Amino acid sequence: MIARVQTACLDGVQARRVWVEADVGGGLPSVRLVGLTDRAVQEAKERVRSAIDNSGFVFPQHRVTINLAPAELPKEGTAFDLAIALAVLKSGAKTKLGVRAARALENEQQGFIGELGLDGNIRAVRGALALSSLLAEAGALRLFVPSANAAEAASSGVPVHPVDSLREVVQYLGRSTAIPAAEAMKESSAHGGTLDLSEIQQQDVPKRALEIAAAGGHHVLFTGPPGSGKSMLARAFAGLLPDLSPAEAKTVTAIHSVAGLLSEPGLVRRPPLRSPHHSTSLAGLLGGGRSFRPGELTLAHHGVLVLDELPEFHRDCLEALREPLEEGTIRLSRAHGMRLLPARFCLVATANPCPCGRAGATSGDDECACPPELVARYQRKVSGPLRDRIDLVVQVRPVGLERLRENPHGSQSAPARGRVVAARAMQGTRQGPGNLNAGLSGPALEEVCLLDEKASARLPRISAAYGLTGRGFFSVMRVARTIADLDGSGVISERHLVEACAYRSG
Amino acid sequence: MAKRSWRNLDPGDNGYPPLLREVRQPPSLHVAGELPVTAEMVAMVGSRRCSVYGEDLAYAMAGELAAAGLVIVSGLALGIDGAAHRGALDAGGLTVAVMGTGPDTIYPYQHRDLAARIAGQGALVTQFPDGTAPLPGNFPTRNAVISGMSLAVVVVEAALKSGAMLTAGSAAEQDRLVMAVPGSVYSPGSRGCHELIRDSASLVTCADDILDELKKDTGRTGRLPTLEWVAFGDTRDRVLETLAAGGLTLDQLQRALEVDPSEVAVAVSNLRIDGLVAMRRGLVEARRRT
Repeated sequence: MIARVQTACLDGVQARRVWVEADVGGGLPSVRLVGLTDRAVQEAKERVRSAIDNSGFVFPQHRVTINLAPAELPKEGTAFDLAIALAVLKSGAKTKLGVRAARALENEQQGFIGELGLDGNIRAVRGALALSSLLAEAGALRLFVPSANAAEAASSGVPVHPVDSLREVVQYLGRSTAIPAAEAMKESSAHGGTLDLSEIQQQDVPKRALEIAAAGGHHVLFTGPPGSGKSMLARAFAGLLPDLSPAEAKTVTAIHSVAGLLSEPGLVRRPPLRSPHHSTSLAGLLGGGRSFRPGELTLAHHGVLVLDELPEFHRDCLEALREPLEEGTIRLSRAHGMRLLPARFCLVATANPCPCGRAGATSGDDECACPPELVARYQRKVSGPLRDRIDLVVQVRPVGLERLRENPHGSQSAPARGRVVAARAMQGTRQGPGNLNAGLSGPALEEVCLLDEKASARLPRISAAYGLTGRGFFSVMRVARTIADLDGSGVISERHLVEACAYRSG
Repeated sequence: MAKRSWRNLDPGDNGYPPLLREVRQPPSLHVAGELPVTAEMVAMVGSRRCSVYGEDLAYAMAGELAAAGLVIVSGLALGIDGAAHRGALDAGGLTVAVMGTGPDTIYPYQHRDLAARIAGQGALVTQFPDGTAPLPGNFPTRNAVISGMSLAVVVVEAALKSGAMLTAGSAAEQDRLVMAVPGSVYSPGSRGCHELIRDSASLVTCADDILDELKKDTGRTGRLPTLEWVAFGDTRDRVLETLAAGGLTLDQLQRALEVDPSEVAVAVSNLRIDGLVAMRRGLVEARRRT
């Protein structure tokens, strides 16, 4: 007899539906598992056999064939174990499954996710939210999920039953009474260890640049000697971003779940902050590996990517940034096809002005001794095309001790976030929700960047003075649009345009 | 560089710089172009990592000196050296570049075009054989040739430890005049100049000062390369005032002026559009108006 049970597997940071088909027929006792499976899936045979035997059921003493459909989709991971066990129990005769449970399994509008231990216990899996969301979309009306993943999976919107063992699943199936469903997880309220702007002394111009970057979703680069506070500014950036929208929160939570990074139960509501070290490999940034894990760029989706010491990153990593910076996606071509991964983030990068880092230090005693050729080579590491995609470049210098003063009490980030939210609301009404100024280009950019009379009269002069061509011109226009939005203005005035130019590299 | 015709010049030859013949162990030279030996030569040297102020000044002063008939000698380096050569060339004058590499290597490569111009409007000179790379050890020897063939050495911008200071040192040894242009007391890039002035170098602020020092009375006009501007009546005035002491970042300007950051950004950007300030290594610097 053939049995069919629904489950899902991860494909990148998304999920695909998988049917587990089991057929128990005549012949010598054997188990075959087919359907483009990896090692972990093949080993499911052993886990499932032991789990069934140790849960008080009987593994069929016949020829068992298990197929994971669609057969052409490569499958990896251990989340199929539960579905395989149920399919085997249902298709075999005399497995002690029970009539009511067998009948309950006829219903195909349910999904099963979980890894089995040899004793029949069910263990947590990676990416439960992505898996269960997919099953919910595919029409499942209830899901059986490992207890440890239940809160996360419940955000998918269908009733989720937290289960701890194979035996428990069968008992639930055999029972006519309602099973307690897990509650969808609460929003994680933590604002997550970011720094408040008020904790940073002075640095008003870099702070202004951060606010503009947050409002328009622009990428920003801070240049300055070590100890000037670049990294602190970068860390404060996430605090200026508004909470994630429900849809964004779900996407971000699903991605982090796939990466196995959900530390606390709760839908991620604050934009993620990722700051990979400069020794990170290309695969570490873009994602990859035998069992696919999203890279840092994808983990920063809808959040902030902090790249400290940008010129120290490997050159191929820097070049790989170009596509996500421009389009918000990563296209990964692999042996078994192409993967499109989300990677729309704000880049906050820092760089030393020269290899020794002391160029521009204020006190003369520790002045930089790097030859100009070396400095030029160091700065060229961040190539022109990459630099062009960074709309704001700001110089940061240490604040001298004599300048340190008591900051005004209370948060600076909260009011700044308020202004960012208002500016983003203007962009949302004008360009559609979620479309920030940083993503504008071509005709869409021209359409929304209305210059007032004085601004358009001065434009040729400005372009000449700043050498604005092509990309550089669009970059200034985008920033000017954001400054106007922060000002609550529908048109871009001369002042907005001129201020935007001040944050260009030079 | 194979195309350019180089010829050898020994200390005994005609056309060897007369002043250089006087120094201890005058070297044999390789020369491309016409070495102008009848005119008086003045060396102008300074930092490779110079400010807009230094570069503008070197360019202008070299131009005026060249127009007055002097030959500008320098070292073909980036920064002040390049500006001095260019100033002389653009004024239609003559200039000599003393290289620290062999005739077949132009260093730095960014100055290949400049070197070609100099060979046509003055001369390229080196004491090193073909195949000599830009080794740090060669430059002090080269500096002695720069000062050796010149009446005076003008240092425009130099940090305390720099090649320009070495040139000034060899000039003093060879009994040449040493002159230095002062800069901001805050600027490490001018500290060497101030040290030279303390050590009895002449303080010069314009081409006329230099000509005076050379005892060529040309009637001093008293024109000083100071920063002059018309009052705008807004933050821009304060920005220019603050920048007179040296370049600052946008944020440092904001701290000095204590106004809204966007106000400073707008003021600086407006000044830059009008050509009154320039950006150099991330610093906003006031431009000399001519």
